[in-house]
Amino acid sequence: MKRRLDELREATEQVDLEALRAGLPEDLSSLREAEPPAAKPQPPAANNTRWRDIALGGGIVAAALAMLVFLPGEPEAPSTRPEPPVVQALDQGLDGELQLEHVRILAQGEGRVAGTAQAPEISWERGLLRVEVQPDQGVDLVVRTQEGEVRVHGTVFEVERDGMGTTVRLERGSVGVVCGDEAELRLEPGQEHACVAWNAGRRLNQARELLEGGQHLAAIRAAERGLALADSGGFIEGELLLVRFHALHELGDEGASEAATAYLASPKALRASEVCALVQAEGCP
Amino acid sequence: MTLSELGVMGPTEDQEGVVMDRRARLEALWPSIQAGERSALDALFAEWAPVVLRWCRRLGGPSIDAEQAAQEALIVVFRRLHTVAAPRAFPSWVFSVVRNTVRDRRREAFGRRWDADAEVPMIGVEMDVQGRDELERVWAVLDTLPSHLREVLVLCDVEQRTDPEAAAILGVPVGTAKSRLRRARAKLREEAQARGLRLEVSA
Repeated sequence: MKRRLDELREATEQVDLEALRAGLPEDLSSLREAEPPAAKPQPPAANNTRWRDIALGGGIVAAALAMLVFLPGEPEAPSTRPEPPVVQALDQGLDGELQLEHVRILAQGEGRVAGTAQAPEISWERGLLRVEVQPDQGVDLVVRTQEGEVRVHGTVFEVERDGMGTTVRLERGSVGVVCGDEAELRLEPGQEHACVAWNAGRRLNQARELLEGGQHLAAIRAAERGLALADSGGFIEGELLLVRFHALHELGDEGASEAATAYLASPKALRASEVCALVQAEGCP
Repeated sequence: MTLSELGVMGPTEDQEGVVMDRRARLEALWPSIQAGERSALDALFAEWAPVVLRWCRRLGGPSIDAEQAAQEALIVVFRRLHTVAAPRAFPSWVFSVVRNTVRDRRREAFGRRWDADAEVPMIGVEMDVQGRDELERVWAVLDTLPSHLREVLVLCDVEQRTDPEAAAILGVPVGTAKSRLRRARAKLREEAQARGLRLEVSA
């Protein structure tokens, strides 16, 4: 039986070069700095009013912002789909499309929105969330997940949460991402940033890398965050205690002795002799 | 042969040869391409248009019109070709053009999911009913991956490119590409199992 991804590759391999070429001018060099040929007609949108992005001439808008302008759509066939509700008071689950006065939310997953239309607060649990915020309308929007939060300063962005953590992707405008208690990171359009779903094992890896890199204080912080997540008496707890000890010892901190004692007291103190060779602590022979 | 063996083995000598040949041809043609010579641009189109279309299909999935997306991407490529500094930057630049085009198309399709009247284009491939059903299930699983994981999986496990080649196309360090590939495979396994789809993937 053939492999599934091989089947996918074979199913997408075939190319009709002539058909592709037909949509481009005969002389490809004419495209350089020229306007593109007329695009194929788009399928009509169901909504009578839709978001349209208009790029204004240079010198008007700062590079990081794009203007979103409401325009009436071209005359379209009447739609049987109901218009999404315009909601001012907020305290509800998110499912599908939600239209606020200056904010449009498309939700495919699980979450809630609270706050007000001018200051929505979204708690996002799982899946893909798309938010479009009209700039310069005084909207103060925040999206929170367990890994961090996104503070919106007027833009279009996506938040996706899965088992690995929360990924924020900025399409246009400006957002700041805060992962845990780290400093806010401002994204540029086209950038993305992931807030990792930390567990004890990932914190251990982080702490070890920081220790090896000579960043002892950061290693101690990472180890202590990991210890807050680790199962008591487990292997990872022991390794985190060991990293913390080594970092304190490297710093010449008097807390190293206490850290050594804590490590030696753990059920998984597999490198007790290594620690006792460096310090004399309770638990050493 | 399972996907895990493919992932371990990497490309064959023939594939490496193809990569080297394509790079060498691009470098040889580059001055003529930048000068806007018609024959050089036609040769570039013949070489890269199929790559662009396949990327549009494999990254976009069945929810987008890949042929239309490929044409849009190719127009951008030939309009902005003169901004590419060197031939070695060309593959990753083309990939970023395709990525942006596909992303815009997928967002439109995402919005149309609530539009009962919208038509969702399907891949124009002749397959029997069972084959098409199986492929749609594979697409559904791939669709659950975040874009940055789907990209590396398509490049490495569908197109069987090497880690360094995929990293160069994505514009990331090799370690980052490998890390993303590991996560992509893990998530793919998880999602396939949840859907009862047997999909052998490297660990």
